[in-house]
Amino acid sequence: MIAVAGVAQAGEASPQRTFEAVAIPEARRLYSLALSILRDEGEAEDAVQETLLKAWRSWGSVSGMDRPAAWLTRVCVNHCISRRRLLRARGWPPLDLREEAGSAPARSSNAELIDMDRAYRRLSLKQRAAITLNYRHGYSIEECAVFMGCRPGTVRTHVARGLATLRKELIDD
Amino acid sequence: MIDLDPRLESRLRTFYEHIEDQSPPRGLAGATPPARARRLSLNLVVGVAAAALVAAGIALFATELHQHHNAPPPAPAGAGNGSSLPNASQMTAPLPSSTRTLIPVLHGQGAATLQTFTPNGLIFIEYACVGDGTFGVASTNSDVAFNEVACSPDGTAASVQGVIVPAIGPIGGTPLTLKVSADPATRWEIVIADGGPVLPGLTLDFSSAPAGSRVLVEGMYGTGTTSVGPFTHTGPIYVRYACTGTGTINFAASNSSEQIGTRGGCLNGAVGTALLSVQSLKGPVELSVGAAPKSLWEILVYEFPGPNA
Repeated sequence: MIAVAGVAQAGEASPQRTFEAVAIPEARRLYSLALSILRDEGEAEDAVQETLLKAWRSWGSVSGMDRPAAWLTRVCVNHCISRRRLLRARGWPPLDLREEAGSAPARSSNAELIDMDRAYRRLSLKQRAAITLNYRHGYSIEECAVFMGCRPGTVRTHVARGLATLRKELIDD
Repeated sequence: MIDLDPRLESRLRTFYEHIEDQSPPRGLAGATPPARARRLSLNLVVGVAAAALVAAGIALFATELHQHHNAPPPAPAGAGNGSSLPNASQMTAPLPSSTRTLIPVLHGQGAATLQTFTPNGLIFIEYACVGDGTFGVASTNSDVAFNEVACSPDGTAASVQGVIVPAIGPIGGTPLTLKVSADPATRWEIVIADGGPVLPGLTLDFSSAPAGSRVLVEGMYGTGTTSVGPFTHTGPIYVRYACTGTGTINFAASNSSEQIGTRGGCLNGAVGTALLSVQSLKGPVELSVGAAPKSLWEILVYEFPGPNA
């Protein structure tokens, strides 16, 4: 069973909603989120599948939450950052393999995108999650802390260090 | 919100827009309930531990056996198996090509006893089930068992799941009879195969890492990509491996902040050794093993402890 403390309370007045109506439409957003963190299409798909599976199995309580989307986000983020699979960072596998693998940024002719992708892959999963949630998805530091299961100060540290790494890597390029 | 310099903000925004332009796989975009992710690996230790689960399951099976007497016998798949269960080709798709089919894809409902077979090497049990209850498999001699899993609800598409059981010790080369435990209304499919003596690596003696070394990950079987660990180390990490096929097998070790990797070749099961790192990663380390989805591999991970061990 998934812990949902801090995200939403089950059993509140929200009407029961169907899984298809609530969770499935979230799949694309969750996939983008997972792909932003994991930078691996297969891993991202796995993360979303696992998230939806947990939602499906707990739908009796999830459907009654005020913000089931927030619950889905938290589960997805936790799944991503607990994987600890940093296969693509630190230049491994080499860029040529990433191109062979067909990831979109590597295929792109846009050199800046490739540089950014390479720099981004050097971030830890938690740094990626913190920057993605805070910068891209617009969640507050406190909300990010709930999603990531850590303290707000830790989120700030992840964001700051992640950005510092990006700046350094992009300047080095 | 993050306060970014305009240059980095622009590049980051473009980067994220590019990510968000990527469409999710069709399987995620469809309006169908999720399928369970497939995890097909079983540590030897887990395999042995799994056998112990039978003891707890005996009482349950006594009940299940009673139900079995009233259940229809399993039939070859395709004979009215219902659209929510995978077809035969989907059931066998995860099996490495080198495996030998012991029990062809069967469709059943409720508890059942399967035909006796004699396994060698690794036993691959692929299954899918639909219903409100659970599904489990155990052998009549208590050597094989895996815990009961929840089935996909009625009306949803069941995915193929699998476990690998090393047919070693009392299991290898002796007749084995498996029983399926399931609620009377639960429909299921199963296919069982074994690896046979296809991997020279199966002869690896997991207890005999080189003298002076320390085992970090006990011998482990798997297919596709799987993470193992965590473990801590003080010296260079070595991976002794064998894998089917002729593709590559990738190894990546990572802690919370850095990672290192290397790769090896799958030379139809020939045993190789990969040196993963010469420096130590601080703290708990996880090792990701990545090979083609149908490539069967086994690994033994060890180190030669450093001076600070």
